[in-house]
Amino acid sequence: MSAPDSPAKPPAGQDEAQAGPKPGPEADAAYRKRFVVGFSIFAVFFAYYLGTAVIQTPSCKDLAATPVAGLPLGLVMSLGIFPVSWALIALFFWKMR
Amino acid sequence: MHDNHVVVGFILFFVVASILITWYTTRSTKSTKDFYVAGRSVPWIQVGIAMVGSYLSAASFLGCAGDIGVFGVDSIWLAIGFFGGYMAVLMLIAGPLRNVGSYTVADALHRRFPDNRVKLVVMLCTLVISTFYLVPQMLAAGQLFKLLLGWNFVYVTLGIGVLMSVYIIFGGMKSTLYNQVLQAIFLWIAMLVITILAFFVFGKGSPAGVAEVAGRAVPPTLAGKDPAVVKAITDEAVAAFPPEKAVLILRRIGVEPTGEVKSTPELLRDLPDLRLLSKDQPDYVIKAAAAQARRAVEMEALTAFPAERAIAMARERMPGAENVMTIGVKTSSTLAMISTVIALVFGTAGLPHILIMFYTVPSARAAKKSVTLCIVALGIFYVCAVALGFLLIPAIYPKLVGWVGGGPEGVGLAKNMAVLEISEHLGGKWLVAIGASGAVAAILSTAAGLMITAASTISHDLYKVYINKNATEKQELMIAKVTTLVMSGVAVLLAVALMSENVAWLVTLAFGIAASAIFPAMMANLWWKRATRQGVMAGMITGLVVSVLFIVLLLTGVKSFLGLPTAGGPGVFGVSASLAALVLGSLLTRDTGKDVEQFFAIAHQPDRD
Repeated sequence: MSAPDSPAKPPAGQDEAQAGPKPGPEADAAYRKRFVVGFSIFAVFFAYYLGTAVIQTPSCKDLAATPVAGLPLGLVMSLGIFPVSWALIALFFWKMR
Repeated sequence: MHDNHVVVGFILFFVVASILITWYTTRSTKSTKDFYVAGRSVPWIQVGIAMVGSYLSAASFLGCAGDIGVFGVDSIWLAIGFFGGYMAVLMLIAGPLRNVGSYTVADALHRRFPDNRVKLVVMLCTLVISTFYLVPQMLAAGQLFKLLLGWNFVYVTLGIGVLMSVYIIFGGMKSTLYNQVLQAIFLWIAMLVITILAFFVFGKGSPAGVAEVAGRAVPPTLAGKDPAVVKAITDEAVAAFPPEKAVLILRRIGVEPTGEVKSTPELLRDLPDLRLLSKDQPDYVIKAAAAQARRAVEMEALTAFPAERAIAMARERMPGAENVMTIGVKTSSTLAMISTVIALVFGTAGLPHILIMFYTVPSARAAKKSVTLCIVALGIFYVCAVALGFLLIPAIYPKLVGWVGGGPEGVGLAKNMAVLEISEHLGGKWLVAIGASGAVAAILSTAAGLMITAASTISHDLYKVYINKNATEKQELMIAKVTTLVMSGVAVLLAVALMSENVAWLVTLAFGIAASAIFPAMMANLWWKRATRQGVMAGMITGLVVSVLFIVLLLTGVKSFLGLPTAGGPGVFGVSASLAALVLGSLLTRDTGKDVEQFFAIAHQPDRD
């Protein structure tokens, strides 16, 4: 492995302010909060998303065909991804305040 | 559709607007910061809208609905998959990336791991992804104009290449963003208008009604492959088609019927005896012309034929066949589905031309706001695309079956032309023009984003790092501009070389590479303090190699490799292999980067406007 470059200053184009806050308990707390909120909400979204994708496969076709409000469950869940994601975004911003 | 002057008018509008925007932004593009990231001061609303333009390619505008129309409910995941990726971008990437990056994707990794080889690997990934993404855009543009207006493929792709080069070279990122905003607004509104009109005209304003029709219809991909069904529908359509209209179609393509014409079937029966305007043509030319003429009349007859009748005829002849709402017509296996979904979700979060847009806003909060706007706009767009896909059934079912009946090329036509066909049914040549212009806008905005990304990475990550370390800002800017021109040339050449191939699926594979090579490395860089330089590099290289290997296997017709299906693309395998290499490499080494605590404090600092 060759010697790394010397990166004492922020890269070209970086804002001065991005030299940024110093590490410490506050920075750690901010990181932890973002980690927990970001990954938790994304996990909820991804579980719903992947679950819906799996329901839409041949192995779950009977479940997906169950009628809900005149439409098949698989289709309703698939289209539900849009409002679910919008609700999760609202939650994300609320938690990140 | 060859005489559609309105389409030409709309295209000219985009060309003139692009030139005016470029002229306006040239004055404010002087430094590398202006060229790469528009001075980092673009309002979040503008970037959010531009992001919509950059992301919505021809595949989204034409392909999503067209695919549902041909294959049925399985294809809704193309639209939903494209949409879902932005959630990962918003929650895990946008904010911290904006805080630590500067010009290119490689910068964000290089800031923590200041090893030039990191830049080299990211640059390589960026170029591969951009090329896989860019070539289908150019191809789609050439094919669209050829179909709509009969224009020469080579001239069209060349023209688009030149137009984009001009506005990137002279206006840089600012010009690209302004153009993307204009194009995004146009194509978004076009999709909305077409879908709403179709919903009330063909769907009678009832989602349950549309689902009921889809529940009866045999998917065009199945009906179109049954010659008996295609023949029955076509024969009845031709019988009902007014002969005077058939004569007009024949004259348009240079065939002059002789004698009195009583009915369209009679006219078509006598076609082999017809002569082209020049009687000196050899027999095989006349026969080919007759076949072409017959096909042209049949397709027009199918256009005018009632969809309800065709749906009933197909069902009568295929009583046990699946319907448009049946799952499994296209999806091959659960694992392939999961692979596709993973590629689309994580791939979006690894697409370089999307990631670099976060550098153009003033803060991390602005970056998140821009993604949120983008997600809402994309959600509405893709809901429309899904709805429009199902609305194609009650609107143009006979035409879809006729197209698919024409073989693999016909399937491609059905997927790409269905949206324009329904537009013509709804609003004549004006709505076709709006639809076609929307598609062109989608192509231009996506391709421009890809070109500036490729140019930035070559000048900033290759030239400045490996070729001329002491390059001045002016030299770096010049290289970026020259690279734009070269990339444009390469894209045009590749598009021309592949013009007879169906390579639209390369876009999906680009997502697979982005998900495998960039996403895990970026996530580890931004969120995992224990990640090491060696681990990140191992992850990127493994992801790139595995995803490219799967693509090669897919291209060579290999159905499975080591027991893993290749049909779903490289997504799940590339991401798993990349993550394994990254984690293993990190646990075995210790170089967690230059002052990792400081890096994380900057990356996750409190948001500010």
